[in-house]
Amino acid sequence: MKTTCNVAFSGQESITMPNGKQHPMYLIGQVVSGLVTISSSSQVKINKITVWGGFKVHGKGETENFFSILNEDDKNQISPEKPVVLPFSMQIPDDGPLSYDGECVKIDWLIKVDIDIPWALDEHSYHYIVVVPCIDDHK
Amino acid sequence: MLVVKLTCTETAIVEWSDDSRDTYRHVAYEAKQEFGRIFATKERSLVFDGVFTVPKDMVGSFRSKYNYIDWNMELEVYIPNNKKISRDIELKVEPRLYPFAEGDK
Repeated sequence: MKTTCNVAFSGQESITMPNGKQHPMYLIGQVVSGLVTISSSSQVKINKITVWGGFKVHGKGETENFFSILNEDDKNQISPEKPVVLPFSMQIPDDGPLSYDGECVKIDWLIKVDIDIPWALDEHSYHYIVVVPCIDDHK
Repeated sequence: MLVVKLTCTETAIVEWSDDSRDTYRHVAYEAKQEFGRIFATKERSLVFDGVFTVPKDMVGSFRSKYNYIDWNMELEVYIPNNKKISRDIELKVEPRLYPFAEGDK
């Protein structure tokens, strides 16, 4: 049985990408926070849920991941009446990097949720955010 | 002639199982300024003032093991009947330091 994973980002502006999708937008140095909610229409046993935050560098070269664990939960089941809710918080470093969609190099910031289900394929969900420069008009 | 270029170059490396590597490069941004005929002597060096603005929507410098975004200032001096003189200066572009001038926001 498949689970459903939703991520609610705390009070954040969003940006519409060229492909029409909307993503939460953060400035360099800002704190990304929110709640991950994992639900299921039937009872599912779970080994572990891991919430990761960070960025992925990919494109024409090797893919490199720079993620850290933001929250973990080893609740052993999810039921329709009792979804799992995990808060998370991550500070984007002052020196970035910024989100970037180049020809050879792409940098994507995201919140990644891994659900380790016993005797089944693990489930993963990816929730992209866009990191833009801090534009300080007073400098 | 003196040519000054500000460039932003993406570099992506693929490492194959036999340890060979393929490198892909793409110039993501280039701004060029040319200064025409110039005269310099041993006693009189020349000083050029030039201003380049890093576009506010461009990415900063970045380096990981296989992916780089490099900002460089390239200088080329063409001297008649002589070899070209080149200098390449690597810059570190940081995303939060934008001293925007009025009217450039």
